[in-house]
Amino acid sequence: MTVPDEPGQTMPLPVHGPEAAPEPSDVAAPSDAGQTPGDEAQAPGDEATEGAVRRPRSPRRWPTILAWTLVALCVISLGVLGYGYKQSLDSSRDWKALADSTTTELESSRVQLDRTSETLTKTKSALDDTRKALDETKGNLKEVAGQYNDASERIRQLASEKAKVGDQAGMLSTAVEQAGRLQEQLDACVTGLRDLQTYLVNAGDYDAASLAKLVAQVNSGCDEAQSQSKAFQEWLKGQ
Amino acid sequence: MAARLRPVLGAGVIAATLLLAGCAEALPLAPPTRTTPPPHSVTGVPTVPDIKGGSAATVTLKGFSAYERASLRIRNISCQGVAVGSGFAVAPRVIVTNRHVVDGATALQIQTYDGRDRRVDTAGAATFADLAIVRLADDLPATLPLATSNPKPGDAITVVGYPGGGELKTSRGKVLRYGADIVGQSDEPMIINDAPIEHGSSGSPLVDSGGRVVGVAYAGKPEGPYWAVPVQLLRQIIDKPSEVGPIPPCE
Repeated sequence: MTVPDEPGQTMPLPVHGPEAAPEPSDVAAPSDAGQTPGDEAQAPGDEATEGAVRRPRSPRRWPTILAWTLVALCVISLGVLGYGYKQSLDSSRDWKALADSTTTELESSRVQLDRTSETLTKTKSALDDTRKALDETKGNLKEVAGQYNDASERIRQLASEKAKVGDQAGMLSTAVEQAGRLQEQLDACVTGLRDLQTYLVNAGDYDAASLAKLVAQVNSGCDEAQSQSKAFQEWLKGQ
Repeated sequence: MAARLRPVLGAGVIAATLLLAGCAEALPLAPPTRTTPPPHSVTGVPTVPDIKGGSAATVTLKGFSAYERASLRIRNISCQGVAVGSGFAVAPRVIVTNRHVVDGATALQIQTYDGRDRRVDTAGAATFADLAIVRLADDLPATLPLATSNPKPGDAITVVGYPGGGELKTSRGKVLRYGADIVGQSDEPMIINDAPIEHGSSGSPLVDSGGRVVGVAYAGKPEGPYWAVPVQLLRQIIDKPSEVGPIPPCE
């Protein structure tokens, strides 16, 4: 913007009174002493110039300054408002972007939460099924454990019963063996008695001392056999 | 003119600052940077179902212990009849018992904890203590390790055997002290303990809390205490087969 502030372009203003003093710097002041007739002769033709020389400058500058100030304030205000508006638009855009991303994230989280809930429900159902199966297995285990304990106890009892049967078989084998020995002794006794009977029928044919010794031997053998038989019977009773 | 514009420009900046300051709360500001996930306000989500607590399983197995599996029932058939004692396996085909359990045997019959029979190969008895070694022709189901040292008074012991020739039984007690052999067959000090045994328990192992054999039961009074051969004497006949002699015949 250009302002007509140059002296050559200044429009002449009317002179309002003697209070407006001429500017000595703009126009050369007429000197009374040096004024020539020729100068006076030119005065009527230069009235306009003289009037311009005498115009006051102060009353013409303050509106300009005021105008400039207002213009500057307007420009600055417009700039500030424009900047604020731009900032507002940017901020709104950021907030909208955040809102959009949050919404998207929320939706995603919601979907994920729904899936998690669904999975949790399925897991809970599976867990309930597993727990039922576990309870059933525990029941079976308890039953099996009971059977195992019963079987172990039964094995204990059967092993003991078998051992006792084995003991009895051992005793019977011992008894058979002892009975066999006893039978041999009794057979010897019977044989001795039979022989002794034969000898006694014809006792006169034998030496009396020898016959008496034989009788003693047979009696001893039979007594021994009888004693063994009695002991064996006692042993059998004790078994 | 430039010098004059500065105050005006300064005034404009001040005015703009005031304007911005006045509008600071009205204008939307830049969103803050999020550092934590936004809280989810979600409705209609199924709640976490309660999980029913199951009942604790109380299953107790009453099978055979390792001690019982290594224990053996020994039947001695002799000219005097049948006697029953106990023993235990120290190797798959080697069992330990008392000498008086196998004395005079015309036949020895070995039965495991579950009633299975094992054939005897050879048998021998020690002379310095009431101990005997029986070697089998068949493998045994379990064995017991021997302790490296004798037990101390106060040590807990477990005795497994066939008291009365009946079922396999386990009794517990502790070592009381060491004393002279109650039957006078050995000059070595013997273990005196309070773990109850009966006739038929002879040859039963005394097992410590670590599951190792520390002695072999061989005698006792009906009301206690009871005597056992220390494990170090047992080790002598195991480490030195020459210490083992033939079984005395039946008389």
